[in-house]
Amino acid sequence: MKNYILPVDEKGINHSLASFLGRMLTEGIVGMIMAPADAGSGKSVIMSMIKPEGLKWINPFAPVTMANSARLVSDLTAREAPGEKIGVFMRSCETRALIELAKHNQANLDNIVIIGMDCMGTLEPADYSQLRESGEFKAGDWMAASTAGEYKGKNIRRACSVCGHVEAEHSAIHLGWVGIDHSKNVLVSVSEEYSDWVSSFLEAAGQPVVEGRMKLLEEIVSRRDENKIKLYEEMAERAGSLEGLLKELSGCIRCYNCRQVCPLCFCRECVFSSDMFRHEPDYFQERAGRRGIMAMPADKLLFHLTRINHMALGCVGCGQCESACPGKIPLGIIFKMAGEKLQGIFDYLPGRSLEEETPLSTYREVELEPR
Amino acid sequence: MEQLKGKEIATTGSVMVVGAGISGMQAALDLAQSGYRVYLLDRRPSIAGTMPMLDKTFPTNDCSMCILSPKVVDIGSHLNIEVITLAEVVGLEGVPGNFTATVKKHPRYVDMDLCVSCGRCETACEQVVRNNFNQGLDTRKAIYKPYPQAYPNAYVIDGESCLSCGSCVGKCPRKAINLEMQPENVQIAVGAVILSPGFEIFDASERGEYGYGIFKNVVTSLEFERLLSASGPFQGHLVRPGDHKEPKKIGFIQCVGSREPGRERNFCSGVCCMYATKEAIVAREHVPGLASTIFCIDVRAYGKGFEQYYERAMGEYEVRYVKCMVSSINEIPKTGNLLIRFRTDDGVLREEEFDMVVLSVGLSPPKEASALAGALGIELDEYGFCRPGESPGTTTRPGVFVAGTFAGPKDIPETVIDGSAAAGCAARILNDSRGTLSRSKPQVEEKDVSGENPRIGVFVCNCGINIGSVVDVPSVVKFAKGLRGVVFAEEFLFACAQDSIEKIKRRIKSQKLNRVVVASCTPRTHAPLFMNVLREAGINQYLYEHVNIREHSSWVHRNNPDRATVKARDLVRMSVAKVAKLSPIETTFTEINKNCLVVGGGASGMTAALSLAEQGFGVHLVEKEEKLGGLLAQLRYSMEGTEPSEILAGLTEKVTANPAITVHTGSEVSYAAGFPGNYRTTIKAGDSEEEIIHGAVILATGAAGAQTSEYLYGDSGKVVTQTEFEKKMAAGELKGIKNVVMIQCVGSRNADRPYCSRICCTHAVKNALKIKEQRPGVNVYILYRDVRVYGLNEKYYTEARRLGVGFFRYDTDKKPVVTQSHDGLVVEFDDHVTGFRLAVDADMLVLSTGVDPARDNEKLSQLFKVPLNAEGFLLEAHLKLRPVDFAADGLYLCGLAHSPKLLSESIVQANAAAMRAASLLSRDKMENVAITAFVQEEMCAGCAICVRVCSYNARYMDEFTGVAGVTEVLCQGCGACVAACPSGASQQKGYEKGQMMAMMREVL
Amino acid sequence: MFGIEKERIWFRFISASEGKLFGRTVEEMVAVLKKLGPNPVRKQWEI
Repeated sequence: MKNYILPVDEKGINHSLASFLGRMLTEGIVGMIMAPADAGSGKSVIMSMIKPEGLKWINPFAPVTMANSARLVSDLTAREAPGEKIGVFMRSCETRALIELAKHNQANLDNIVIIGMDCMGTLEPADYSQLRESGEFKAGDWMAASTAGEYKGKNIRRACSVCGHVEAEHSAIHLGWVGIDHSKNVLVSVSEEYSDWVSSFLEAAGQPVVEGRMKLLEEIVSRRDENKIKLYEEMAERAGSLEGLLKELSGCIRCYNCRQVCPLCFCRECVFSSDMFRHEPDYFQERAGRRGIMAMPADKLLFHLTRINHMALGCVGCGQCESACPGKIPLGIIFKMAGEKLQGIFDYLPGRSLEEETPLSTYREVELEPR
Repeated sequence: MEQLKGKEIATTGSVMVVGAGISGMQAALDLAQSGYRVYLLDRRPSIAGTMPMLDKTFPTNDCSMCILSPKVVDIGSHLNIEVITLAEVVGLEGVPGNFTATVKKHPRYVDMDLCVSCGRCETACEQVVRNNFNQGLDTRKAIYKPYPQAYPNAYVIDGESCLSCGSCVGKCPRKAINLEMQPENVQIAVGAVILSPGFEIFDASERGEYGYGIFKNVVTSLEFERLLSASGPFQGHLVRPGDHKEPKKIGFIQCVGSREPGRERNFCSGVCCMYATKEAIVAREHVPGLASTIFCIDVRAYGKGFEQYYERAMGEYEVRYVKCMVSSINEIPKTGNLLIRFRTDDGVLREEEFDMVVLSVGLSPPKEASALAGALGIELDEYGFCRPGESPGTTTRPGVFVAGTFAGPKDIPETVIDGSAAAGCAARILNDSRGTLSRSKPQVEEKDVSGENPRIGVFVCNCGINIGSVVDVPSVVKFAKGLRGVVFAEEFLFACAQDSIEKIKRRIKSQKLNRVVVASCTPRTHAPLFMNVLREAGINQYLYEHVNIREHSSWVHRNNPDRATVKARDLVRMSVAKVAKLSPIETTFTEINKNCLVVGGGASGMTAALSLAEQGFGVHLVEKEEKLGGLLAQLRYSMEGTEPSEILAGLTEKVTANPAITVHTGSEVSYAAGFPGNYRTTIKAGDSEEEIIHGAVILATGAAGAQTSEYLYGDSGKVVTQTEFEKKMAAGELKGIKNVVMIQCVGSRNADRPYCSRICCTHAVKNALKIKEQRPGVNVYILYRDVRVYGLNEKYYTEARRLGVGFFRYDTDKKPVVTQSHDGLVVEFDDHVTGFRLAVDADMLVLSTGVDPARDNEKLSQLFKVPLNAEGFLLEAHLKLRPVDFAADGLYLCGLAHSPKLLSESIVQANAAAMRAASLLSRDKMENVAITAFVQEEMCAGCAICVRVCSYNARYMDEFTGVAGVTEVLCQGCGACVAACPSGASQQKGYEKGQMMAMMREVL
Repeated sequence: MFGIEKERIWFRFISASEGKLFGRTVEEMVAVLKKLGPNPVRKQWEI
């Protein structure tokens, strides 16, 4: 990756970025750009734009992810690679999820240009909407305050507070602002393929800029790791026993929101929506009969354990499941904990590389050894 | 003469196979599968020969019984194989194609149709005798079954030991025992005979100095196999027979009854070095830290993967090999330990103490060899092995063929190859009567039961007392009657007895059953029997569930009958729940194209092509060079005295003259597609391409003579390879030479090429003998690491030494040194006997450079999707039992493409590959595996994991729909894709998720 | 990590030829489970 400086003009970071992206469209670098934008109502939505005019709405640094954009790339490309290049704004968790989807033929990266950006975490969507609607949200303020992990009394999502990924991996073009004076500059890092184009209108970044930023990133990661250890301990205390886990899951109403928003849950028909779990009526009587009592809806534990079983190897820890849960079940952390354990056994890191085969489709003799 | 009329007389479409060991079994299966009726004889009460006695097999360490059982089951269930045990051939009249064999059947004293192997007779019998199966390490009764998996699955009375007391007769609930049975002679008309009677082990007591039979802790290698085996006398706990203590230090003595010209055993048994190595490895797995020492002359690890196995034994398992002569063994009376006295190369006599000694006994011709030879009118060689006819696999009597160790000592894969090759020889002369005597299953129209409510019948077996004495069978029947969907339940004393089978068939009809559950013994042996009952009753055979309440209930919970009964009920309940959800599975067939593609026009490819053409199949023979011949064209001499050039000319002429063979020289395969029975392959010659359609493929692409730059090769004209030397000799270019030095293992058995090239030692000896014959005055020095002239070729090694050829061993850390002086070459090396350093002025230095895999193998492996081993040779489906097959049907291999081997071995393997192909091509259609995977398309997300995990290339992505599919012809039903599918879209017929969940719900 | 004792779930690689080992492993597992007693899951009504 080569580093360049995108100067921020007096109209702000989004305006400067819009003109950068405008060039991408008009100069044919990409044919479409998909980016988080303001819907005017104070909500953030993801929009696909093919004309530069639409770019005035973009607001990618807003600390909110309404949906994991990996799923959207899957929608755009799963059946067939798009005919022209599409630039997609993505955070780290999204790029890693995208890699996992691509491994499973659920996305085709051939014409996808990942425009990655630094992510210091996002707020719960409701919190963000509230700040926006009350007019309290200022992008610049958030960016300045973000390294603290808290903004105007709202915490970043729990999954983000333990996330060690600030930069978005696998980016073709990456926008860095953490550890940069982002009122003046954005650090644009680009892959070989785009460096000629970018160098035609941007200045190269000096070494000190980059070095200072790297140091800060390391600090953030180690702080997040500390948070993680603390949170894992706390969660092991809460959900590390069967009683504890059942207590945590007791709020589940099997609304399947977690399944719906999970970027990796790509089955076309979930087994839990299939006939297999449409029980015969006497099934309930028999189940209840065994212990004299049973919780409804049935199969809550089985549903979540099955999902963990299915997703843990690929879980990138984005925490969307937790944000979408009406029962506030700490699913994100439970999944991440289980995931990291399992991934460790197979020395597998989801989202690390497209070439890394999923443990399910490979076999190594060491797997026979007890661990 | 009738023979002269040629094709006009019809031959007899049946073959007698004498000896039902692994090679006889292979021959029988191949012939039966390709439309011949087979009479498979064995003098023993059960089939399968020696292999069931072995614990594990080298170099894969597979369990011998486990890999063998499926073949035994295939034999037992084949309609066209009649197994005749306790039988011998006493006469053979007639001519090739039309023989009448006289067979003497010895009495079994047990009616096999009635006996269900319940074992009550054995309990009743009081006569305890030596158990031959366990090599006398324990005992059995006079009425016995040789081992639990024995086929035929029936008891037998050992007439020699039986006291005729009759106590078993009354105990038999099936009245199967008849002590009045008499021997009888029967006459059987057959078109050809294959002899595969196997071998005896050398009687170790003939070597008195080893104390076998006197010292209890000296055992034979076969006894040691039984000691290691989980089914052996000590259940696989390794102890020494003397005091049942675990040995910590074992000595193996090699060549006991092998390589002993003085004892008229001037041959190498070919297998002992490797089985001793295996036994040492397995022993160490049983007893951690166990130290094994193998006392040997040479280590003959010459087969595919053997050298690597030997290296592993030395490295990973710390097996010590000591090259020496063992002079005696003495017992230390107090401890039962043994003192081995041996003389090493340096002439020093040493002694070492061991807890146990294993004698690696050699292979002898079978006991009945001379009687057999007399009855059949064939000749034996000087040791009593079968004397070969004009080509490998033939005997001195036309129409009588030989396979396996009766033709000379050899390992299991060669034995299996022999079996297929002999079958091929028989099929070649019986082409016109193929299919005339074979039988096929009668077709029964299948009733459509879809839409019917389940009407389940449950049949529960007592298995004599095996189940009934523990499990309360009547209560299981009563319980079953109350289960949902069950309309009928009944108990049987023996459900598998013929009368019970008929009864079940009647019940299916009278009770209008559409699903059946049988609760009895293991489904492995018995499920096919009951599924066939359904088929014959007009019900789809997959509407069946088998419950094993013997192994899973009565046997494991013998001491807790109440709980065993509860478990039996639970198991029945589970299967009833599952059977209710089953749907019929259609058996599908693939049409088979009758042509075969043979890639490679060397000795192997031409042999295979001829065999197939003579069996009536069309052949496309593809050779990349402009001329046929391959490496055979480079040979000038053979050990046996036949002229390689004559063999080549003969083969080439026959191949080119045969109208069924289309020869494509100067051609290569450029594209291959399709599946067994229907391949489409593009052959490219220059710029032109031709597509051919064929049912099978034989890869006979050969190998390359390896090159070297060692020992001044290329720098001095006096340094040549073994092949170049042979050519010079034939061209008479060696006039005036006095000293010839040969260096073995040049480029073989090292880090770059870890395998042994197998042929070099034999070639060196062959060329040494030739030069001695041409110029007796020439001195020949052969510098070797191990002399690997195996099997019956040992006699040539002996002959070379007798003629004064000098053999000097060198170690890899002290290789010979070659220097060029002003007047010639000087080769310096150590004499391992005297310890002196010798220097020889060599007029000719001959390097045995070994064999390299063909460069094209990589490409072929991709084209036909077949695997290569680490060294780059094609890798067969199983090193022991499927030596010429690839995993998928329709793909076969032979010759040097498989691994280095001698010409005669290549020819046998080519015959075998042709026969394997013929056994497919002779069928009009092939029954596909029924229990295959299928896709619930609406659930498939197209992730393609199934495609990646499938070992049979049976899974694919439909590019149009983006959904995965199954090529049913290729699917073997292994279930890997079903387990891997993240969406539950891949399912296994007969094991669908809903069916399995129904079962699990009943047990949870 | 969900509070089910590690001793209640076993993974062992046993080849089809190792009947003895399989038997031994089952016996071992039964002994361990007998010591552990019934699985507490059975007492949970909410699963």
